[in-house]
Amino acid sequence: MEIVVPKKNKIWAFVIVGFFVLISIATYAEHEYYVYLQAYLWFGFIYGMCLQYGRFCFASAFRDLFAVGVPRMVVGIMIATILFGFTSAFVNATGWSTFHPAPTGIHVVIAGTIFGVGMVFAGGCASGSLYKTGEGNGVALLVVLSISLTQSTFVDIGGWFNKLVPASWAASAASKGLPDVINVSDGWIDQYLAGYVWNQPVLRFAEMLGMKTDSVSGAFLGNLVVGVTIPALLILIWVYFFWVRKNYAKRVLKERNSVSIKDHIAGFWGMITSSKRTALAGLFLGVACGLQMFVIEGLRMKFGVKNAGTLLHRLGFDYGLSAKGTVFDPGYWYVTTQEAQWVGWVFQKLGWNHMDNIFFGWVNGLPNPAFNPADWMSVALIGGAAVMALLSNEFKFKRPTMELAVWAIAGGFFMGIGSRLALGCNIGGFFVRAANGDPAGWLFGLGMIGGAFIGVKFFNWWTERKMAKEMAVLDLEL
Amino acid sequence: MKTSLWIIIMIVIAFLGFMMGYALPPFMEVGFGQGGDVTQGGTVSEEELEKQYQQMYQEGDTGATTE
Repeated sequence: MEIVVPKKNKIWAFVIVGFFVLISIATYAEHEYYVYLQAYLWFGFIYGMCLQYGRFCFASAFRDLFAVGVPRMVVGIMIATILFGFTSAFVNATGWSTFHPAPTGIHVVIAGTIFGVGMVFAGGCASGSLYKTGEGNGVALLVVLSISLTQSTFVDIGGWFNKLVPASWAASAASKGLPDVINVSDGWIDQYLAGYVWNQPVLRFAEMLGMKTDSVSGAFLGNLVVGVTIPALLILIWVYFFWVRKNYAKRVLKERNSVSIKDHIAGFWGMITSSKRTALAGLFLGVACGLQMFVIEGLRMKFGVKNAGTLLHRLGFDYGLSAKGTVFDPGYWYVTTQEAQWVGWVFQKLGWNHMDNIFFGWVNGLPNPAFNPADWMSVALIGGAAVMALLSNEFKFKRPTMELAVWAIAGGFFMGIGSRLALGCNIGGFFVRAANGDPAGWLFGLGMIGGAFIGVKFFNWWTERKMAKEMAVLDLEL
Repeated sequence: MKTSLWIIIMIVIAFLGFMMGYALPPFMEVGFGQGGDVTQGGTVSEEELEKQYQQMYQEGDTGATTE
């Protein structure tokens, strides 16, 4: 059935697209280096459209699974991960991928657990909250603000928190030879990063199997088959076994006396094909993610740089570049780091020095948000989601209630902590890493699933307790 | 809805095509499967830039020179 879209919605959709077109043309007229930022912008726009179209949200996925037993979104996400894995394998095989694996260790599981609890409380993951903000959802905007504020504060927190740093981390961090201006001995996260995380192994499935990632066998067999497809299939089988199998078997038993392996294969396939919308969004997300890596790497070659900080320097924007002259420039889809930079930049302007820590001062910098490549991606993501929501008549301003606001802030807080401990969220910490054969991605995913389970159980307990109280009050009144 | 969406998709594809036009030639020149150092040109080398910024930080200048 054709959706009737009000003319007003269409006009607003074109106003948003027109704004991005205007920005692109005007900045290109200023200097061709801005093509680099435009690449982030238009890929962000595509991500926003895909996320909104597929209702691609990790929080909804695991909440629906654990709370009401609906596996549709989890299945869609796993399919999307495999599809993205395929495009990533292609890019990796060429040797020109922008992806960097993360240090792997138990910290990633812990961080994923904290993040998983947070996303269930907030009612949206990091990327889900961004696209829902584009739909006009005030709660999602609060989540984004809470994630941003928590991260930018957490990465600079020191003082009393230094007492919680193990002596071995402090000693290891001090031995890394960071410049004095970073002041590595003051800051919990600084010592966690330099004293613990940087000492952990950086692995990929291809290398673990004795292959090279930038070879066809390493990229496709080591990373895609062993590192992406098999773990994703195991999760799909787990979902089928615990949530789908029983109902499917009941249906089959109505027609026949027994359920064969063949029936279960048909049931498994039915589960996969029932997530068409999410899977289709996942297909486009996967292709776009791979293409972004190609485009960014090509532009780096074209302009002879390794990081956008050099381009900003050449354009005359020195403010907020890190001690190495860099800015946050992942070269692929990322969500939370640029959110931390928004608030960090404001704090820096207000006089709270945020450039004396590793996260901002040594690695990501704090450039003006107007010239921050990853910021262009996130703003365009919100715009892309808004356009899609307007054109499908799903855009609506929703003000948060006080209760939802509290959950949003609490959820954003936990997601912010989890993101910084894992060096990424459900996208940079799980989706991109898992699809590129980085075991840290799956470890984060395991933690996130566990955290979501805990979050759902807590949420159910809280809701039941609240309802019981309300019923008790009603009983007294009656 | 469909017409509007298709127009927007065409605009997005046009920009993607434009950026691909920028990104592909360097690959053609260097060759696929030849991953390595991407820096070939530029006015200031990244190593020089890094040294420059570290120097700036040691002197207590946070680089706020253009805003």
